[in-house]
Amino acid sequence: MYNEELKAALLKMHARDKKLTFINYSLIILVIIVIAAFLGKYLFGFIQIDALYPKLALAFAIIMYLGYAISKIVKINKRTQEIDALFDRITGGAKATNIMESKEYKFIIPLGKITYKMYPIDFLMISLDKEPGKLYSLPVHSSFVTDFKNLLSGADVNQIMDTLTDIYREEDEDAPVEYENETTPLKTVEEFREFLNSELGDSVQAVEETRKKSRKTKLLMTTASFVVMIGFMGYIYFNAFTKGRTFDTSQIYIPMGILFVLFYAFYFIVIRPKQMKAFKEGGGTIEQAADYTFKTKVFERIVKFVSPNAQYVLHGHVNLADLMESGLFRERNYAITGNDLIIGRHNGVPFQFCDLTVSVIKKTMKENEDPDYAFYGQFFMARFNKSFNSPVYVIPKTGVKGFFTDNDISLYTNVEGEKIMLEDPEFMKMFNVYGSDQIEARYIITPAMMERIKQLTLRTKGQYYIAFYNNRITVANNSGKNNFEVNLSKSLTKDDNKMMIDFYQDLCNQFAIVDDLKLNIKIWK
Amino acid sequence: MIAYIILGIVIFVLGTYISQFNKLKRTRNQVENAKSSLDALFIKRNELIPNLVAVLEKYTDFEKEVFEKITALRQSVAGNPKDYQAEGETDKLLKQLMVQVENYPQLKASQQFTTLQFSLNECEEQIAAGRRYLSASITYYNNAVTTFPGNIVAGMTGMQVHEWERATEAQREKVDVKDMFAK
Repeated sequence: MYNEELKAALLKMHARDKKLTFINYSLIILVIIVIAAFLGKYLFGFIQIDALYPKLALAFAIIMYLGYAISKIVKINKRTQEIDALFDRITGGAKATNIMESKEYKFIIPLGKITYKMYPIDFLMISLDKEPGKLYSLPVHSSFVTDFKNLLSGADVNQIMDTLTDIYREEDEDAPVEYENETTPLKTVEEFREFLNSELGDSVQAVEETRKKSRKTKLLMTTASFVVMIGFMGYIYFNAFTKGRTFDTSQIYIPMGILFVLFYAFYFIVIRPKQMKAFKEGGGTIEQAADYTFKTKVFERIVKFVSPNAQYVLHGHVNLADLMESGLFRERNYAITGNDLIIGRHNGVPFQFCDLTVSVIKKTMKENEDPDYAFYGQFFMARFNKSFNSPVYVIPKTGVKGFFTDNDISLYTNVEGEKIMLEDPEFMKMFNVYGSDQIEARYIITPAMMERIKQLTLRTKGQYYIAFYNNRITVANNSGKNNFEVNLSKSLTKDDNKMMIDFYQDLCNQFAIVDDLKLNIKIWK
Repeated sequence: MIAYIILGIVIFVLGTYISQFNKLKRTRNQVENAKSSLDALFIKRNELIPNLVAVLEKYTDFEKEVFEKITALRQSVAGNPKDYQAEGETDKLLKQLMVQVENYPQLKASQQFTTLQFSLNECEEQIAAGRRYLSASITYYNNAVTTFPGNIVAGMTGMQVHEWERATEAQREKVDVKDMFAK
């Protein structure tokens, strides 16, 4: 049923994309015909152009464009079969190794210095593990992106829905009271080392081998490109600046031609087989192969080791609705992306957290302008163990350093209410607290809670933005880094598995939010 | 020229007096507001207590001491909610009673009782928050009354330092959990 709904949504978006593409190309062809007629009748008629070249160039451009438009339309017409094929693969157990997002504007009107771009459509480019080298490019409505990513990650959708229902459940006065004080403490680093050596040793070694091979291939490609470039520039220099030699541009055509042939021969003979192998192992590029293998073969098992009731969703992340439901951000036009969603229950507390990047899509932007980044870090959301009516916000004081190094989060954070002065002076040096009800703010943020938030911040050195909103707690750590990513240049096993231990501690820091803030202690109805 | 300077000084002094007076009034009103909010929470707790007493009275196999506490609790609710001394006694009675009824498994199994217990716990937390807000308001008011130039205006208008709400003797008593279970 879930798959059917998503498929229907994809087909609907495809129909919209098809309609807009037809209209777009029709308009462009009409404009081209009008311009061509104008040029043919008035400009070429007025100015005698004897040379055939400009007329041929114009005709060639029109034919090329028509060819491009026709090929695009044919591709769009085949998309329904592509969607069917994709869902067949998913039903057969295929998972996405890589998902890239892009936005395509269907109508672009260039007016000199200003370009109007209208009717954006979000596209997902998907590589599947069972179809190396094939890329599915599908239009998806922004509200379905996270659901689709969950499906493509092979997630247990029912468990996700159950957890989200628990997180967003309205307080029911007639429901039986829950009393959950039993805690399973997080395992120590030593216990993790034991688990790593006994259960994950082979998998980690396999990932490490993939990483080394990938790095070697990349080094080879980089060195080859560098040598070719130096050689080519040396040739130019030799011809242009050596005394007694004359240089003209035609001299570079033959060497350029030879270089292209050599480059493509090298690519297809040496590099392409390695890439195809990498595709089969997982990953659209050589770098992604190591990361995908690590996440699916190693990291997922680490998450289960920490919390057996939690689920790891490789490409999953919170959606725009979750972001706005946190109450932490103002209403703006956000673009959200992320990965490494972990969702489930820890010590009885329903939660979800992920790596998240939130950027702001402005109505007008310069060509090369970067978007504002409203948030980049770890986003945690859980059900809070007390009921309250008015929101409370805990905002860190970042100081002068934050002014220069931070992203634009302070411009987009929502803080309602008046400033609340609490009793702990150290806490008040680190955070500003805002709320509309002084008593309720103190009901939520007890002296013990302040101490726990302080200790969490000092231990993890995070920049925590905390919102208590609609009986939920959101802890957004604007750390500026994407956790749990494998780097080609850093070894997994060096220094006695230091990177693995760091990943484990980063993971525990997220789960520790539940334990540190005692979210599982529910003795209030 | 001198007249303008004198006029300026008079306006400045008058302006400072008015702003300080308004500030003192606002902070004092905030103290009263905090007290009123706290009273509302005490009333809410006192409304729960008759329900608790009604549930407890269904069980007839309580020991004598437990019945005495139930009776005392019923009487304390009839008192003045603004009497914080009495509220302190109610506080102590409630806590002692809750510990003693832990010995009655049939009561602990009662959903009604458990719900009431949790509601009372929530009330206690809210009362604690209310007391913290009252303390913060009193601190803010006392700071305004005792620091310059607020202390001059306070002296002229008869505004005095507000006493902080202290714990009652009953609340300060060291709680001997063993004694509670022995009763």
